[in-house]
Amino acid sequence: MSLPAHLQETFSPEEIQFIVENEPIKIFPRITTRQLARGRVGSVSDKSSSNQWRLITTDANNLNNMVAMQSTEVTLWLALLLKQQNKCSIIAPKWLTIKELDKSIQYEKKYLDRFSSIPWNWLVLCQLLFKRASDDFHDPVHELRSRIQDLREIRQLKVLKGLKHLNNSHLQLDNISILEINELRPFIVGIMDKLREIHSASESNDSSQANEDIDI
Amino acid sequence: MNIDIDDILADLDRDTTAVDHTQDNFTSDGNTTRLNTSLDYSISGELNGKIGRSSEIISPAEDFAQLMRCWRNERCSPELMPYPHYLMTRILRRIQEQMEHIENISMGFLEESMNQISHGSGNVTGDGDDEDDEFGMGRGNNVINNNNKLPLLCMEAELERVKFVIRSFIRCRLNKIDKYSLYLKQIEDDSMNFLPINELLSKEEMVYHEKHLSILLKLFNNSILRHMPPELQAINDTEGTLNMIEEPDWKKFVFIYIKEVKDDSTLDRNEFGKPCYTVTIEELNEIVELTIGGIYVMRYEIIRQLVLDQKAYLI
Amino acid sequence: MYYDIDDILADSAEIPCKFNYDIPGLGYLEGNPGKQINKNTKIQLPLWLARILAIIGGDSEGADENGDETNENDNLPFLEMQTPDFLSNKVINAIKTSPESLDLHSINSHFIELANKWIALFGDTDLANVIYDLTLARSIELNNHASSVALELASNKPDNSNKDSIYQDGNNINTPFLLSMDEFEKKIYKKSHNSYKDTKKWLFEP
Repeated sequence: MSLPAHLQETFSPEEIQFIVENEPIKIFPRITTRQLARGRVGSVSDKSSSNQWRLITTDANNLNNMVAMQSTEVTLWLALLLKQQNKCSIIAPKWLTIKELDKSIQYEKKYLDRFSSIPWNWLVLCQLLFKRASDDFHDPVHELRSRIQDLREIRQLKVLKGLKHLNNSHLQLDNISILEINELRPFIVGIMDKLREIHSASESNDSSQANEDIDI
Repeated sequence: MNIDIDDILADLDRDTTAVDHTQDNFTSDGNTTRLNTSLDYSISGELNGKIGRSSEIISPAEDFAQLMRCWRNERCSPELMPYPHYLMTRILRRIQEQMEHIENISMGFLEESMNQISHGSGNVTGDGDDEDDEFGMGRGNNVINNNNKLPLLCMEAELERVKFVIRSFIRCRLNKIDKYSLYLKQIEDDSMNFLPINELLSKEEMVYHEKHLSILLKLFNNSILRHMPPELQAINDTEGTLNMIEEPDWKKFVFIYIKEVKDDSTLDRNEFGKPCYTVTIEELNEIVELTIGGIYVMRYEIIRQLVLDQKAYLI
Repeated sequence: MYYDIDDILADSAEIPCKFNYDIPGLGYLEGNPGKQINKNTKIQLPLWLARILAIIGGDSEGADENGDETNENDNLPFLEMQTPDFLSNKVINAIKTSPESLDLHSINSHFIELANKWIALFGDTDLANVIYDLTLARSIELNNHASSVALELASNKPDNSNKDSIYQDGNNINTPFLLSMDEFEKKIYKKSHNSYKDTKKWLFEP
């Protein structure tokens, strides 16, 4: 059972989300795990270990040493899971405030030939946080949302203008985000591959080669 | 440490442990569950050989990050990437141990709360659903009121996540093994290749590749080729105007991210003093500087070595 | 790619050819089975056949048999391919004038692929530049259509009765450009449209 065609040479947006979910984020735990093991002295030994996180993809140290309302850093998917269980609030990253977003928007408007350096996961991360942790923002979420939408539109327009620079050699696209890459990939790769084929067809000149072959 | 494959299988999918591994698991019975089990089996098979390698030195988190990179590179590259033998061995062993760990914890809860309905019921592998968007995040929607079960919930979710990546990784490789089966056969016979085929593929992928190819050739032969004159029976003619063997498109454009590697002697500096790798697109007589931290759309062949050396990631 | 169906279809496009020799037994190509085909006969042949006959032939033995001592025909291939209609000056000029409004599909359903073969055959750099510019210019237009999925999602009405058709999405139903795309363009359109659509869906999922 091999990979289905629609996932070959690209990712689904859900897979992009999966990739982003493996990155760290800061949280305020609402529970304390540090004392938990010690607090249950006398309980069966393997039960106390059942209160411990033992993970195989990330360091569980922070999880086993959570103190309520003391910020710590965990993997995003864990943060979202804890949030869902009401066990933490998520600290929105610095760039995801009205003030910082306005700066980014200004940068995007000022420099028409480059992207602002917001994190490469910006679109995915804010979408996830809006959806699953909207009560953790200090700024009103609808205002953040509309700024994110603005950012997205400005950047899309930039991409659109940049597409006429597609060529048969290469492109440099610094600060383009992971979701934007994935969204544009089929188009950019499809067209650039064809431009490359057209160019190299004119270089290769099959007929002279074939003639040489015949002469032998 | 000795790990019994059958135990792993039993945990991976309780309903299909009856599969006889000596028989041909890849026959065309169309039973996807069985195929799946075979895949799980095939990767677990690594456990026997290469166990006990430096897992103390490499942290699980690093290994998982590496697996994610392998998966993303594999998904984005036109060619089949070298199979990460040791990495997979370590990760599969951790999965196995983690499943036992979870099982033990669940058993503890089960004993503790015989009188109440518990959802840590011992079967931790979920329904084995193979949907592409199944990340194991959908479960546990009902808020659990018992703090003790929180780690368990996380560990189960984590397990589903790792299994998803491995599954997708292997499926992607199988797709390429199918697509390039004749090409792989060709490089198998060519000792000049940069990697011997048994390092490019896992042991189990080798078996799959060989069986798949023989089934395919049998099908070609039975359905058409044997009805043709001998001179038209070739399926691997490389002399004609068109190569019959499909090779990876080495020039295909890919998105890359240039990683920061400390103290790399192959690094140059561009005119602004920024560290960069210098590559040449020979066909166009162009020299391109790839600066650290940059994102580029490039022909695969140009940056292939950087990817293999982990100086650039496909994204 | 050996088993590429579009490549095979493009190869079947008919090319006007002119024979350089009298060739016995080939009359069936112009509907005269058993007869010979005469020198200077003009005939339409599929590209895959014309290509081979335009390369092979005209060896000295053949010339001797024809008793042609003037060497006028020496080393001439069996036939000469002539510029097909789909690459005539008229078409090239139309491409240069307004690539976006050209009905590529009606000129030839595999136009770009076919032009590419022609370029490779003759090392035609001028044609390569024209086709390069054409592909790029039209790709912008193609992308504009492929990426416009906003209305469909915003209205949130599942009124797309025919979801399989690439012409049935959002606000660009049956726009002339979509109908004018050749097979390569259609392929890219489908891929990129799906990508835009999936991304948008993910972003606006409740």
